[in-house]
Amino acid sequence: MTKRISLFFLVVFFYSCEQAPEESIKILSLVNGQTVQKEISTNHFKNSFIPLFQNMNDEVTKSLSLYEEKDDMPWVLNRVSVGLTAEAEVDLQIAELTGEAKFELRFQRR
Amino acid sequence: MHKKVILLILVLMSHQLLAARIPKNWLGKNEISRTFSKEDNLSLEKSYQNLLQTQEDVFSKAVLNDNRNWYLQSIFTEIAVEAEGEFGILAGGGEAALEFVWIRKAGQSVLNTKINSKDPIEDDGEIPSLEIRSEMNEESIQREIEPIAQIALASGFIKNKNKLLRNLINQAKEFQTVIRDIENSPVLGPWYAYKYQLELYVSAEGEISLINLGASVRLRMEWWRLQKIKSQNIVSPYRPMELSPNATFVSHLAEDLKVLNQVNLENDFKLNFMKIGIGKTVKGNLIIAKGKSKIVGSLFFRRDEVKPEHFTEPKLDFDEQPYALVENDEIVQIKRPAMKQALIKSSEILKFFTNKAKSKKDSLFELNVIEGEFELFTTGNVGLVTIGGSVGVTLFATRNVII
Repeated sequence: MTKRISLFFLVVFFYSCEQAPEESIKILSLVNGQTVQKEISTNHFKNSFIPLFQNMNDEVTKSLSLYEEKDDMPWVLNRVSVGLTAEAEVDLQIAELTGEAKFELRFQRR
Repeated sequence: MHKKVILLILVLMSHQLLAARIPKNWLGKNEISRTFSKEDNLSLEKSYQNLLQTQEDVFSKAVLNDNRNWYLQSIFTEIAVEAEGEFGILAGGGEAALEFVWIRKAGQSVLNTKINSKDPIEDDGEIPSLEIRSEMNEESIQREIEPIAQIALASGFIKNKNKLLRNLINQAKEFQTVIRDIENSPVLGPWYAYKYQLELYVSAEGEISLINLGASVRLRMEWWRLQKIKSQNIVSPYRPMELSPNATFVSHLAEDLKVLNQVNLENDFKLNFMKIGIGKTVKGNLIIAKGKSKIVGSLFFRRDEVKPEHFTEPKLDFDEQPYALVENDEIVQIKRPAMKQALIKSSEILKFFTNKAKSKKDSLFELNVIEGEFELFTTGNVGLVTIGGSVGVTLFATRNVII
């Protein structure tokens, strides 16, 4: 009887190793001094993020192509960055990463 | 019955081992050990590689339109560690979880090459910076300040222009006294101080504070040394009376950074930049600082790629002088051997992250800079900074970056 139970646990153990849970990514956030952790599946991260990333690149490069540099300008736009962040206590799914976008424009003197 | 219990415990233990966490010793908070210990943590490796792989997939699978004048040059992500060692992408708290940078394609602007070769490690580029040199007189400082002051005034927040200009000039003069000391620090090996930054917070009345006291406009003063110049005035070995306390401080740090030479990274990464938080005593002496209310500047070091032949490294004649570390209102001494040990431990931790960072050859993006932030403790211990902790030392590992 004991051997049979042992065998049962061994089978359960190897089965659980075989059926590994889907890989995930942790999102950490600091809310009111406390760390909040959320876990999202790798596939969900990829599926949500790729179209968002592509659209953002498209929109930014399209807007920037309208910028014209003229010879008499003392400052020249050289670098543009966009930071995606999530604020406040939200159910952190990838869509919320778009919660707040921070734009930075870097001009350089000639 | 006995065997059943043992097997059940084994199953539970196996699941426990699979939890991916940063080893306690790498956090350094409660550990006595000041040295790096490589713990068997396959699940950590797996989780870290999954994170890298996912990001690489995301950035490579998107079809990016490149037919315009601008292109997506780089992407920054921040990986955070919480108190118990869990790690993941940081979001919220004012931090950008992901940052995307577009620059103009080469040929679109003559400025591109210049700006990108200035410093391979990027920092907060949005802060208007005043570039101050030691030889500047009041007139040239004014010329440097004027356009930056105009940007600050354009925000509409600052009301008193004259006060702002006067305070900025005074601050620049004080800044010059520090950079003269840095310039006078003899170069004792491959590492040397190449950048010093001071963050300034300007109030609506035009008053300047070195710490963030609330509503303010942020400016920065910066000094650069573009080339390592060997001090010609003094003959080695240097004695205490020949160097100012600040020059000594900078030279000691540069000399101690040599311990990083013994750490070899894989995947073509090189450990060649370091940033340290700096505070100042009432006498104006530089000390190592931790905590936002104590850090008033950042000192950056870099390592020369080329080692000159027949180069005899000069020496200081007073090697035993410890560093001072300020935390809250307490100043403690960190002996130089302890500091060297802290640097080695930090670099070994960073080594773990670089050695696992392989990129596929056909990837659209390649991971080229890994920045490791470390907290120094008054015990002399060091560990990866956790959320809410205070960064003391930042090490940068780079590859495919031209210095």
